[in-house]
Amino acid sequence: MAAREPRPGLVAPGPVRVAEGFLADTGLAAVFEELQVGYRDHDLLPLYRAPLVEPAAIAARQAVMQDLDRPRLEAAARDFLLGLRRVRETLEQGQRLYPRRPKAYYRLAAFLAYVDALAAFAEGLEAAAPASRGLKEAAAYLKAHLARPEVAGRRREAAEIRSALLGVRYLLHIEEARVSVYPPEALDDLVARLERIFAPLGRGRGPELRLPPRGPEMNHVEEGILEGVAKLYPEPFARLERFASELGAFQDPGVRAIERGLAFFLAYRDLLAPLKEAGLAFAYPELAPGAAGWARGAFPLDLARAREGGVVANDFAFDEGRILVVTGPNQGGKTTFARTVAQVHYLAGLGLPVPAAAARIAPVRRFFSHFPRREAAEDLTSRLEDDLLRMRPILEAAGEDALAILNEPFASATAPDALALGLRVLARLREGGARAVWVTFLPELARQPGVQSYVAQLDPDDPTRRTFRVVPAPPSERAYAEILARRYRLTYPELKARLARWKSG
Amino acid sequence: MEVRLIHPDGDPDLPAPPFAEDLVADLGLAALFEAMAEGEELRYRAVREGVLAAANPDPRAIPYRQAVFQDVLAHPEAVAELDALARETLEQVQRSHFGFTWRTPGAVLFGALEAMEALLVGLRRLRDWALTARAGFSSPGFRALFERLEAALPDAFFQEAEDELRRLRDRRGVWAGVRLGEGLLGRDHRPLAEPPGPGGLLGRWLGGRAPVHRVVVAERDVAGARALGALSDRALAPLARVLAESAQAAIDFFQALRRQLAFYRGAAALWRRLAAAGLPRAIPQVGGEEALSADALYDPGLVLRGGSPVVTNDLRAGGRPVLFITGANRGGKTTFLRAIGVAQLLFQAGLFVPAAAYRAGVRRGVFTHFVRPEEAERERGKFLEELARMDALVEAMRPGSLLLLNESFASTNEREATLVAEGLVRALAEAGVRVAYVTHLHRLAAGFCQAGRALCLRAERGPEGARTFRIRPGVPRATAHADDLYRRILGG
Repeated sequence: MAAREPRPGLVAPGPVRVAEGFLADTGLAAVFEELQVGYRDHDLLPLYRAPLVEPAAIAARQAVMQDLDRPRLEAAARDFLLGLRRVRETLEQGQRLYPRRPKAYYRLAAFLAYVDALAAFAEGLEAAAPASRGLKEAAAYLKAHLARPEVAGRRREAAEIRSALLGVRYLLHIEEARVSVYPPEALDDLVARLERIFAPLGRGRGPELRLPPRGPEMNHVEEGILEGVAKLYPEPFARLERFASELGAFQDPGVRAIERGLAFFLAYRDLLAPLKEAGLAFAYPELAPGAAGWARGAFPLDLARAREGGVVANDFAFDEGRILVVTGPNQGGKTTFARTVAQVHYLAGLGLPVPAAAARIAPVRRFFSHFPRREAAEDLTSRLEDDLLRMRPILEAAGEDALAILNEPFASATAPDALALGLRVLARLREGGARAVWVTFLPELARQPGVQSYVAQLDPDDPTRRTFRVVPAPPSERAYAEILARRYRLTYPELKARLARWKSG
Repeated sequence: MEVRLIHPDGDPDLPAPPFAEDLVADLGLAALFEAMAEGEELRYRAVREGVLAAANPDPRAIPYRQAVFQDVLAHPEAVAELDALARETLEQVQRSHFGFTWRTPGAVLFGALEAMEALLVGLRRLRDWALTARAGFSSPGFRALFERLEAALPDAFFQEAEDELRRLRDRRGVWAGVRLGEGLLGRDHRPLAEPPGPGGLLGRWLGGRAPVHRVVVAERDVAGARALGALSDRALAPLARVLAESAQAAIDFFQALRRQLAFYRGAAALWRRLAAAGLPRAIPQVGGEEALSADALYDPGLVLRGGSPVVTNDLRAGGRPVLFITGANRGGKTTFLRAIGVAQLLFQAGLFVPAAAYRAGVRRGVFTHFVRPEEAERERGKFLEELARMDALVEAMRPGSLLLLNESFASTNEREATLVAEGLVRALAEAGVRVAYVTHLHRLAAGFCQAGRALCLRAERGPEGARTFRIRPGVPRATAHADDLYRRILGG
């Protein structure tokens, strides 16, 4: 390990820090929690918690992810991670084993699996010619590592020993209380004989055989048999033990860094795959300057995940106004819409594809959220006080590079108070130039200058149904709590139309 | 080995059609199945499965089965012998230790050996029986079965199989070829025949075959004994699997034979029962897509339930996709509708039909939507429920299906019911569904029949208004005339 090749940092944490509660409020915490499943070895959370803000750094990550969009490269990366995980498992297994021959074998197998995984990935990368600098550097690093004389020499030796051992044949005679080991001999295959004789009957359903469980552990009878096999083939067994005793620690820190970087991307890809399957679109956002930006067909990643793709997509744009005020019926998708905007911006900062059909996003340096606090004080005055206190850091840092998600702030105040407070906060946000999504019951807020009004929609055919669509529109004064008569599921015209469809199909 | 008495190409699964329970209840099939089963549970299951699956038949199987059925009718004793032979063999197998799941390979092998011995006895009896009995049978189904048995099971087969079973029983331990695998554990354990040469330990030494190493498990070494057992099981597993699967195939064959015979034996029982009652039976003819005609058609359920005297009716509906049956209450309309459904199912099952003659096209799917008039209450919930059921039926139907409607939509007022039913029947008929509809909706029926798109039948009344239970062609009579006037003038 003397030579020091440059260590490729596929993914380094970015400079952005998010305000407390932001990830939980916006549903991202749940997403990241899920992202880690299957990747616990890699300590990914610190990476997901630190977005980037430099366009060049974001673009570099997008380039790696776009490389991984190619099935060949993705498969190579997945195989690489799987291979390295198996190496660690094999080493652990070897440590648990007691008998010396299998213990030595597991050391050898782990080393071989390690260098094979490295070589396979290096070759896979070379063959697929990645476009990103990150993957190019990874390939160069792996090749250099494998070319080291001590690595290459050991690899040859280990492969020879293994192929000399595996596939070695022997004959057993198993009786009541003993088992004897013989040299191999060509005897009649009983299974083939039975198959031939009973062929006229055909084959029915197979029995459920209760087979003894097969772990890597070796019992003393098997150990005894191995003793016999070692007598039959002494030379490879001697080489095996020598090799294992001379092999030291062989896992390289540079390789570990590459692995972690790939895990960062692959974990996210795992999350996306079933959603893409379900027809949802993801986009690499274009990077915009200043505080502009928009997305088409954006949806909440956390909900999409929980509902296996069953979510409504919406559009948003910070153009006519940087403050989007969302009004509409209860449970109509207002908060979800606000979360969606936050998620798209945050994930764009991570250099990952965002849950939207298309997007253009200006990177955000400060992420804020203001959600009602469940644990807030009981009495209304102090709850309002708490609301205001939590608003302060937002207003203090509400510049162009900030994004604030406000979910019904001041809901504990009386309506005139809430409006008065709201108007003032709104003015401050506008002065600072911050981007904000503001969910509120107060339609007046949506009519302020510099504000874009979004309204959660109901189904025009059935006002009892919420659509979860949120669209730019003037705020409505209507009371939504009307309950209308239930409609027949099967009226006459519906039945007619349905039969006609069946006929043509 | 396959039986192939119900289909020329194999022993297919006979899945129940959608809404099988409705079919049974609406057409009164339970009484039919009971008469066919004559108390045999296996037969009940076989006829139920066979008749219900006939809702979606393979048209090729119909004439094929008709021929088999005629053989069964002609040779009741021989068929009973064949069934007894299969039954006795299966009983012997049941006495063996075969057939418990989740056992070790050693135990499975032991059970399979026992079962296979019994099966070989049964197979030999069956083949010998077929050699002597086959002369009397003429259907392609039976003849092919007997020929297959003779060809597949020559004497040499039994000789070799019995020898091999004996060797397996008498073996001492197990010889296995093994490969060294991952973790230096043995893998691909392959059971091998005992090496030739002088027997016993000494003999092996003399023959130059000496073990390089020997592991002996001490008497109190429980873990060692378990390890040895596991090793033996690993070596025996492929052997146990082959023998168990072969035995299972033979068991499957005998069970299929019994099931398929039971299907025909059930039909033969019904045939005899109806003959005893002096009622006509006919082997039906497969007609074109449009065909539907019957002479002296009746619902066998009536006589089986020991109820009223059976009335037979003729039917000539060829060419018209829709059939309306109107007329007096309790005039035999529902019974007639059932007769149509039962006849079509039995026809499609490849059996006989309760009629003097029957000719029809093969329908892809038979469905019922019955509302018993006495149960129909005029309430919103009921009507919605009816629509929901119809919705599900439409989902399951295909062009070429047969739909039997009995007072459908009687749960709402006539105007609404007519509106819904008119669109439904028209759309279905245009899509190629045959509809038979017992209804009080006279204007609906008259509309279709006057346009020549439907055949209208009417439950006849005798001279004094007495019910005759006969169904005759006739445009629906507006018996609800007074009703109409009342409604028009006084409302309600």
